[in-house]
Amino acid sequence: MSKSPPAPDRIELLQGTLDLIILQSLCWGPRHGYGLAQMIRANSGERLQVDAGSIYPALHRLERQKWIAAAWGLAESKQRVRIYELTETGKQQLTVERTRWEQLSIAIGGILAAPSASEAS
Amino acid sequence: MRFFNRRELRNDELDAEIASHLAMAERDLIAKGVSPTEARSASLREFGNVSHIKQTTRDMWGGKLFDDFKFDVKYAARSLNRTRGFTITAIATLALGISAATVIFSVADHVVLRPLPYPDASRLFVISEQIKEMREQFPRLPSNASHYLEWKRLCTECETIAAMEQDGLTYTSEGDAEQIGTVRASWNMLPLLGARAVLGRLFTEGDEDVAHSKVVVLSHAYWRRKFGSDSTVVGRTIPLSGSAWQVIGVLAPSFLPPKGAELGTVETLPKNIEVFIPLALTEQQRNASGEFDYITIAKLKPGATLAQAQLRLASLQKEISARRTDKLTIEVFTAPLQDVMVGASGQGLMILLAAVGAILLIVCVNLTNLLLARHAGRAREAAVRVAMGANRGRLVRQALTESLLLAVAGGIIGVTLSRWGLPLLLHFAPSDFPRIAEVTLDTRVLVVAGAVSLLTGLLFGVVPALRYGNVEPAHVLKSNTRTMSDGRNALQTRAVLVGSQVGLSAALLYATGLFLTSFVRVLHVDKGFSEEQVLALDVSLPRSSYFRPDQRVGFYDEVLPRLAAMPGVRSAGVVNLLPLEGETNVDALSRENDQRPDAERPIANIRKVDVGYFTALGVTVKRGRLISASDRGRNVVVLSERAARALWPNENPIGKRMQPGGDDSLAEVIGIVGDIQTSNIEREGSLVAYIPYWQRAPIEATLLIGTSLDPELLTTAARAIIRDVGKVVPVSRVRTVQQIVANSVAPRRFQLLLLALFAGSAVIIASIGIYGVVSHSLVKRSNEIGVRMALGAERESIHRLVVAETLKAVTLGLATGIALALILAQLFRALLFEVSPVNLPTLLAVPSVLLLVALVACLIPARRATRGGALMALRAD
Repeated sequence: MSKSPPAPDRIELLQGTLDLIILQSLCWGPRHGYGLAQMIRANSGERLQVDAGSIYPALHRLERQKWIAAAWGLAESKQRVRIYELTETGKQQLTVERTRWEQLSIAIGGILAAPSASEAS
Repeated sequence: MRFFNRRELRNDELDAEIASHLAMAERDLIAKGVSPTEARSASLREFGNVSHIKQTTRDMWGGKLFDDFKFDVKYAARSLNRTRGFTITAIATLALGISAATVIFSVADHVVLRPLPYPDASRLFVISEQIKEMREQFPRLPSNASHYLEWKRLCTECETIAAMEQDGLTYTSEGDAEQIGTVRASWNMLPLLGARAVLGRLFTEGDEDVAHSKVVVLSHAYWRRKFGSDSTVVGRTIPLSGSAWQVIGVLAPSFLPPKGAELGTVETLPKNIEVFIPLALTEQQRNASGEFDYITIAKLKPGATLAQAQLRLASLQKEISARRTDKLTIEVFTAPLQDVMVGASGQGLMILLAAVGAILLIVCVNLTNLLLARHAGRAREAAVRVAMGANRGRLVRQALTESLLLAVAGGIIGVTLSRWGLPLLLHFAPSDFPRIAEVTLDTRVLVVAGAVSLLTGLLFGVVPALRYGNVEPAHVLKSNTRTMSDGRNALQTRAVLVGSQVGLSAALLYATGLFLTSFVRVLHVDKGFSEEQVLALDVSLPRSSYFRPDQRVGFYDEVLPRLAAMPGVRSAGVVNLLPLEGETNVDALSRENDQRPDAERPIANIRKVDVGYFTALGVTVKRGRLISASDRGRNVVVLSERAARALWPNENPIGKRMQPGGDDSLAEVIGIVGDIQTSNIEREGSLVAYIPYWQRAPIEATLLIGTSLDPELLTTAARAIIRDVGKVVPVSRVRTVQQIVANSVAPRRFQLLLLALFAGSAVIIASIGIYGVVSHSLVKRSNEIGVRMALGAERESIHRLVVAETLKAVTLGLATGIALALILAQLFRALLFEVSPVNLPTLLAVPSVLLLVALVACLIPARRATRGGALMALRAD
């Protein structure tokens, strides 16, 4: 069986970022699991190394936290699918998570941009 | 159940959701031109490990612990079902241990731990007195009426002080007389003990007025038996002891008055209290300074302490004592009612509770051992599971679930067994055991039984479970475990298992040995009389027909020869109170012209007897002669040996003159007889002075019939004679003297029986345990044994090796167990009779028995292991 070697520039997902990604993706409207997986892959430029299936534990966790809601519906292909939708608290949570992410990336960016101690002297 | 259904539903939904994902992915790939087979595997690859993802998703739903637990229970049940022999053994031993523990705990809990069934029971206490000069003989006495009244008036720490005493009314109707259990109680006694009336009312203060005190409150049982639960009885008058008494109320059936024996050695209350009458004290009773008859129970004021009350009463007592003309010092004592009622029985129960605790521990050790062997056999299974990535924590939890399942099953069966065990135990319990009527299996006991079961499961399961989860796959899978001899660790575990079982059994056996020795000593104690073949009938002569002494003497004069003339009768006699049945008519003995102050004169029981009393009971004559018919008309007295010695330490008392009792005229000492035990088989009796019944004829007495037949056969004939002689004389109690003696040792026998039962079970369980440990270790060492034998080792030398190893652990256990027992024995030395806590014969017997048992238990598997010779042992794999 041929197995495509992973692209050299694919990166492992950071702990906890999958929630943010899902919430953000659902911001544009309700979606089923497969659609979400496709969307994440496309939007990340295929750079994230993540099994399509691993969004399901995350979806069910977010549903339990009442940040997203789910209902059975029909896909365009007439396939019966479970469709997820952002709730009001989910929207608030998204803001919280976004802020945290932005702060984190500023912090890390700052560290990376700072001149090293040896260079400064 | 709904919970399970909802989960099933969600599982189906998750399956459908993932299936739809895979279907869409597949379709998209086919649409891109990938072949259908390739599309299927590509979509799966992209998705990841389906079952793993399903599991992690399910974990997100919450209730994961419960889910795992459900799985573990199913898994444990299946694996237990596969090894039925093990499962049945484990559950059976657990069930027996838990049922024994439940039964003993329910008794101990109701008798010792729970408050008495009276309102504010913790504030109730008993007041008793002591005449300092008589404290050897009577460490505690009931109260004197005048003292009681003074305390009641002046004790500021007491909310209530109530008193009661036994009385003996007879119910007379249609010529038949029946003595009924009667208590005279102060009006506040019944409310103090939480009694309620279901009909009519209880006493009021006004009922204590002597002129208006002919009122009676019936017990519920008596009302049912005598009046057929007739509710119109209230207000009617009934004939009691020749007077008309008005029934004013009927007590609730739940009322449980304390028993006399529970309140002290000298305190007496009827065994069966049938009626209460008011304690209407006459002027004479109020001022009788020498009578100590009243059982006094008091309640502390809220906030007051017993120490404060004791202090107050002691200062009142000092004044009372100072006012006395006889110069006697009277002390006062207080003790919580609960302590007084439970007394030494409580300590005995605590020993039994410790014994069942030890049994449960032995059961636990045994099961630990069984489980270790079981898990060792499954080490490979565990190793494979760990190698495949199973979580070690889950392995431990699964193993623990198994032991908890066993514990729950054992607990349920054990509690069910105790529903039969408890009534059985209560059936054999001595009837005067304190608070025994309150004992039931109730929620509180069941909750404790459940908790104990679970705790047991954890206790015996935790070590094997940790061991099971701690498996080293590389090590286990590489080696052939069955042929490996155990490492140091396993050897130590085995030594601890064997040692602890032996140690606990040794402690139990040692305690049992001490109690057994005590019991044998009690049985062989010199009571001063012989109990063989004597019938005893209590009679009480109604005052209405036998008011004058000559009327009473006439009754005995007529009835005794007729009883003696019955066929098969050796002798018939009379006494006002039998040996072992208590103290009565206590008075100071005086020599002729005695110069000693009252307080220094010896105190004795004055017994009214005839010659038949001595012959029927086989009381031995030491000097002089017994009472004879020719002594009528002059005052004579027979003394017990110690009474004689107390009066004339260095002289021959025969022919000397003395006063039995303060106001008596001088009587000539005609004989000396052996001492008897007056109230307790385990204590030296009081001094006794015997006077002929015709000098002071008793109202209440016991008729004795010594016979060569079975004494109970004479009951009907004797009753007929008594009815014939005295038409209205009730016979209140019939029993043999042998029964009286048996009753006096009944609590000891009961406790010994249980303790022996527990110690016996402990030894049996421990021997099975040793057998199990040794045979399991030998199976694992069969390779080593084979090699040794192939190299020329004799079977005997291998047996020696095995025995030596086991006995080392046994000896260590024995030493620890006996050391423990010696310490504990110091704590319960008060319960032993003429046996020191360090008892050499027991100290030698216990190790011998246990060593022998251990030897047999380890030789059997050792012989089996070497029976086939080297080849068999090597081939065992």
